[in-house]
Amino acid sequence: MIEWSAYSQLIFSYAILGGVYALTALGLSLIWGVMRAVNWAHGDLLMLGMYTAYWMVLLLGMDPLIAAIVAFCLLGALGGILHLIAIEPVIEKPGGHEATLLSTLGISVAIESMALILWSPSPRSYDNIYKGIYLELFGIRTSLAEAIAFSLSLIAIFLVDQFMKRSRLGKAIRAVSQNPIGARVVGINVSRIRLFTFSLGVALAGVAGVLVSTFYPNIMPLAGVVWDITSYIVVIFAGLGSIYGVIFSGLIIGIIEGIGAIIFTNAFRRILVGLVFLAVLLLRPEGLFGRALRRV
Amino acid sequence: MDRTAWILGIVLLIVGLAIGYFAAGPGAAKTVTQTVTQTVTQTATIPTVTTPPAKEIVVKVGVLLPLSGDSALIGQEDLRGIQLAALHINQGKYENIKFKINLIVADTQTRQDVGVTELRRLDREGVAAVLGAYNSAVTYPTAGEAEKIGLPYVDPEAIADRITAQGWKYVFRTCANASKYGYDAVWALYDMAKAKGVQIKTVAYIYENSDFGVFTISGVNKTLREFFPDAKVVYEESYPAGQVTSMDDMVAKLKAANPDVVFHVAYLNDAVLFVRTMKKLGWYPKVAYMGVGAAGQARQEFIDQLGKDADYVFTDTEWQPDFLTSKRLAKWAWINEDFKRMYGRDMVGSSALNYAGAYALAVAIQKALDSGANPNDLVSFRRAIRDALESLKIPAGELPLMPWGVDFTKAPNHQNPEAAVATAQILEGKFRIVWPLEFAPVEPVLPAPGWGSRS
Amino acid sequence: MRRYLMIAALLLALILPPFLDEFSLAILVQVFMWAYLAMAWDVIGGYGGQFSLGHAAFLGLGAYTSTLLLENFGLTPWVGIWIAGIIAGAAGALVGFASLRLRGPFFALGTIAFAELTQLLLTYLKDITGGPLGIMINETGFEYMVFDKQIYYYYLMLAFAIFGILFLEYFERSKFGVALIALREDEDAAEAVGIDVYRVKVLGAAISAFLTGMGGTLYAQWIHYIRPDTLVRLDFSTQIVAIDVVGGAGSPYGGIIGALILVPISLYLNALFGGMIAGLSILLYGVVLLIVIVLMPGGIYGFLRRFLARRGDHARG
Repeated sequence: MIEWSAYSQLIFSYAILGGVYALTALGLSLIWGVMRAVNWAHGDLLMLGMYTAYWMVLLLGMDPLIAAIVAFCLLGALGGILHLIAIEPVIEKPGGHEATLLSTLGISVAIESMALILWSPSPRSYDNIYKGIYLELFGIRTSLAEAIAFSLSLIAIFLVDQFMKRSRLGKAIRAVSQNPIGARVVGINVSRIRLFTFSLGVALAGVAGVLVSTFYPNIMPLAGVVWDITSYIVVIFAGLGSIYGVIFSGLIIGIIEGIGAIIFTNAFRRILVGLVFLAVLLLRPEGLFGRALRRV
Repeated sequence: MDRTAWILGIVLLIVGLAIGYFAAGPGAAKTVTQTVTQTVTQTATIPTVTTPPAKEIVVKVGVLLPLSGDSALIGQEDLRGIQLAALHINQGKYENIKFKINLIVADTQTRQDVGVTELRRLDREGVAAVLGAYNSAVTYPTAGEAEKIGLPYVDPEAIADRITAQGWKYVFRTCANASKYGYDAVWALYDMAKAKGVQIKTVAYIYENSDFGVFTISGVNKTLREFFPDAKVVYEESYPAGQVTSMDDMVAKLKAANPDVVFHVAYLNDAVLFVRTMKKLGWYPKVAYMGVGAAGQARQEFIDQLGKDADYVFTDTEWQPDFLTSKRLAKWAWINEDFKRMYGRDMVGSSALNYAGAYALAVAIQKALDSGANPNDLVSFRRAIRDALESLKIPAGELPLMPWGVDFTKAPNHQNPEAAVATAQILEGKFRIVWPLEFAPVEPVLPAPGWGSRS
Repeated sequence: MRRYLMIAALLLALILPPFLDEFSLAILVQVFMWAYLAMAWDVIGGYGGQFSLGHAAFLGLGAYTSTLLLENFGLTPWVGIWIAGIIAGAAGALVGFASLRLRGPFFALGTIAFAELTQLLLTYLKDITGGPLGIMINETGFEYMVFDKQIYYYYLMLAFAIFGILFLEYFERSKFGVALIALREDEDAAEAVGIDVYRVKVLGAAISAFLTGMGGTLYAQWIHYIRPDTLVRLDFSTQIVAIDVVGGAGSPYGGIIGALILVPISLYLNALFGGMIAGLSILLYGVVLLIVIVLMPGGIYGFLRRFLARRGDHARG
């Protein structure tokens, strides 16, 4: 029914979408890797990134890509505060992981309501040059904004991976992620690493929010929720310890969604992804690209 | 910072609030005629009602709307419409309405359980009637409860057909139902196509998959048989509006099926995403892209976010400022002017519908008062209002803002048979009414030009 | 001492209703309902240590089972509720199987996916379930578990809440309950002692789901209109968990304590402020949740127990 070139266009579009998913999941994957903490507020932090872009563009006429830097700093700071309030006090106690789930739920609810009260539910959006320009390559089209988001996703992942491998701090983070007790034994200040990682994860979520807002319409208090679940699915797919895994699993999720949508209906995408997710969880919980889970 | 102290403090706070609420009871509960709703451009305050002199009658009317949660955007707009109507009534702008309205506002949080609980609170506050609740998921159970309590319930905006199909005696709907939205959309298309000599042979339906989408499209489909008996439906798909991150697949399938007209029942997000995706993939329906249900495509944000790409989109709409250019409706311009002064922009369908619905309820309340009902005997007063609603007739031209009137005498199911929906086309970044012809200041552009032929 | 307090509370709960209006009763109906649901969750969430965030699925399965039986076959919900429990319990066994492989946060995420799939399933099996349009319950009368006045719902929910407390009190002392707790504390040691991990986990989840499914019927009969998107929601699942954890997971009183605190907070605050500042009540709910979780890891019950124990030591010393 659909002609061949349309299929390749669709696969391409969904691959781009997958790249965006990877971007939103990157920060989460760091947090998950180091702390195994579920951050319920992830989608809302994404939303704050979107609003940051909106206000920076509106009030200061900033270019969205510069706004991404602002978002990185602002949300990094916010992430640190949230970590100290909601994660650090409970993470080391028994049942700590579940407790972080609920404490971040409280934060998520609070952030959403604050956004509602402060900025009203009116959907915002801003004009930017990236939105309206379309690129065409071999008969396949995409918007400049999505292409930029995708490229930045790759760049960010590369940078984070390099940071993890080369810098002292990065190595310390990996140490904590692999073996917190051992890390402490060699003198790494585990709580400080956690603080840094959480802040970085949230900062990356903020950047992702800015980039998404360049092409996804409607910045609203509840705008982040739809990206939340998918980010988690990408993270679990990728597994622990693999940064590049995040981009691959993002692409895979995007393409699975695309196949579900093409063969069946748009509504079926979620079912298909949900089923695949459950399958991965049950059959290979360490993810497709991660290390084997240590059996503690 | 002793932890114990913290905890005790919080517990005391909660207990204190609870006791305070219990002790206060229905009479002392807060009443609201003022809102501090933040809007995009400015904050607006509506002057409070000063304590009325002893002889005046004050009637409490409950407002049940989603002011937070997923539907907060529309719920808050609905509230603005109702509050403006209450304000005008209390300022004496309507000679036929002599009592004063005291609005008691309740937030359903877009949740059924909260909605039902708040309905009971409104009952306890002693409201004479209720306006609500926008979401059909919340309107069904709350209307059902109101029916049980014997509380008149006026629905000014929720369009799911089933709300007036339950045989309820206390529930009334002033606006059109979903099938009528579908009907008017196809009728409009028929008139416009005939005037322009355009043939329509193939159509497609894309709709969000809750009752809104399903009922509206079924209205479109039934009407299509009547007006375009030879037309074929070449593609149909429903989708979950809240969960779409991409619509590429649907547009690709539409491109392959290539219908003349696409009918799309959507909310704002998905509507914008759809049009953007059509542009990305370089396709537009040969004749028209028509939004049905006056939801996503009828919003100003739709135009704001799409810019020029929104042009030539058709959408049904309950109300646009264009109505005020017609001879019949120009006399209501002052209402919109007031709204503009307070909120910095024109009214929209939601606020206008709710204004009209609140007015209709007020007329019924006045009728009940005129017939001798005692507002202090709540049970009989509510029954009197219900009876007044059942025999309510407001001729077209006397209902503020709307080109139609209210006539429940001909409607045993309490669905206002006169309610109708206009059609607008977005031209040069503005909604222009193009149907019915009596209110259309401009002609529609049909067929709509594809992406390539636009300047 | 505790017994006297509980009996006093029970007497209060029994004689209070005739003095309250419909609104306050409606709030209490929801308090007891959520308390019951929290206690049902507690079986595997608190005692089992399996953090399920998908219990709304069981709520939905139960509600749909009894409602479909009612609407299609005229079967009274008083019978339907048991069948609802069985169907939900069967689904719970599936989740129990999954818990054999998944731990901690992985299990939590898996249950979220499970609940979402259940919602999607209920939506797309349109011909059976009515799909996204939902099902209305129009029957009235005692035999249909539909009551005119809130007071009847109050006593019904109160009965279930009391049943929940008594059940958990019995459960935590039963052989099965002790085995479940042992599994939570140290799975390897429990296995070494001869506990059949497989049976305990699966059965535990099934019991929890069974009880929750019955709660689904109660909810359906109270709200009269069920739909996949308003019933099988993530925030129902999280509300159940939040209530139990705030009250004190792993104890018979966590559910009721948590519900008595969180449900009135959200509903009363909404009544007070909802019309004026939209979202404020939800904000306060989130803040309270955060504060309790961070400051009182054992929940309010756990905190009270330690607090009273410490005071006891001082008095003795």
